[in-house]
Amino acid sequence: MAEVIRLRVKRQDGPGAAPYWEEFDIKYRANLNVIAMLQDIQQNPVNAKGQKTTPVVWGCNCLEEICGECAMVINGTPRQACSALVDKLTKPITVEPLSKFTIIRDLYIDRAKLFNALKKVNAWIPIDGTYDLGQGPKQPPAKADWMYKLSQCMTCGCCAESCPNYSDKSDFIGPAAISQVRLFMNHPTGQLHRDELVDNIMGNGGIADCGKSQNCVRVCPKEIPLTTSLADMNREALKRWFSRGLRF
Amino acid sequence: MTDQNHFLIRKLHSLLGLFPVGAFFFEHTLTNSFTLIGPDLWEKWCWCLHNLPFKVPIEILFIFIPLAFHALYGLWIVYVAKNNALRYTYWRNWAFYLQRITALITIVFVTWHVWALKAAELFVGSGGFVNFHNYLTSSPALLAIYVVGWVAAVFHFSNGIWGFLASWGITVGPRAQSYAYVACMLVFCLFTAAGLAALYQLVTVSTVTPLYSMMY
Repeated sequence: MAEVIRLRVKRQDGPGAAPYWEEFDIKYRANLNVIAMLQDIQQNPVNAKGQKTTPVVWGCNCLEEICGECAMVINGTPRQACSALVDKLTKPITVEPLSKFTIIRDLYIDRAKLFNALKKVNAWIPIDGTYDLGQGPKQPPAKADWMYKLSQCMTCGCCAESCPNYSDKSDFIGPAAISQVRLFMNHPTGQLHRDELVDNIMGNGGIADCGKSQNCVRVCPKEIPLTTSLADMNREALKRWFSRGLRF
Repeated sequence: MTDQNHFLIRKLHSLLGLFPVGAFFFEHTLTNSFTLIGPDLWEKWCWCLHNLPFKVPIEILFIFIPLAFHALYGLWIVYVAKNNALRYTYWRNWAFYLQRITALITIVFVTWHVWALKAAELFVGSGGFVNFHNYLTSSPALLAIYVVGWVAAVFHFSNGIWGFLASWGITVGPRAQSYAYVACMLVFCLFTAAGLAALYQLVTVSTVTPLYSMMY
């Protein structure tokens, strides 16, 4: 007889609709992950009571913890569903959508708030031109190493989900966007726009709104040193503030 | 412009918590600790403080205004947080929550403490120690409020130093922050002990030995 895993899903039929819990029994197989369980429900949308129901909606792309799309709260912790292996989870498994974002349906959330934060701080390097700009400048390998770690951010939203200062009550843009500013202002090409990048996180909702609860660094699935980024950007913002106020 | 003011206000809030509010808290703790040397010396020290030159401007500029700003803007910071210490039970998240809880306790306690003692004028003239002894021993609830208020203020102060060091980019990495945490918890133990010892002294000693008898 095959083992059956109980999956509890917090569902919601649309934005603003009342949430409800639905349970499913999924047949266990080796290396099963949460995404595969949801795919099972998609193929056969029958709940644990044997009633026919609508398939659970969620988002996913890469299935290898690179894209960030399948972030959800699994057993109370925000993480990627693709890397959540059933063998390593306590049962029954509980999945909920990230609570800090608008829920489109079930586990599928509107991620625009995360992308808007990146747009607000210009988390990129403007290298587009009308002609070939040639090779970028070289950088020391030691610096490339720690910057590579920051570049692994996939804007999944786990840090924002766990942050007590990230909510509809405050404008805080969250740890991820601030860490991205640290990445691009240290990039050899991005350094040319260093001051503008720091300016972008000194306003309302910027670095000063970090409350140092440090949940972000604990839940980050990519183990990005977010609290180091936040403290470092605190230092950079202060230097910039004094420089802006005194050097004229 | 409002955006630039936001950074200034947040950093000012952080700085004022340490200078001068924290510095005053240190001075206050030291003043309390004079009870450990002798009630008479404590009375004389209090007499000096009460007769400081420019006392009122000093109180307003270096204590009242910074404290009021720190407290009022702090209330806003407490309001915007959506605490989740029960869901994310990491100690730093609990410290974040406790920082806000102790902020509220301290605001209520300090307001009552200042208002009650200024109104009572217990320290004016001689016999301040005995007056204060009688006041503290008048009810166990009052003494309990003093203990709770003190410990809350000390936690807010010592955990606040840790926060200041991170907010000003002084402790950046996790190792620096954990060393700072150990140092701040030592501050917590030291200030808690000093304050409770002073309270113990005020509650248990009811007579003032003249200073000159201790000097010889």
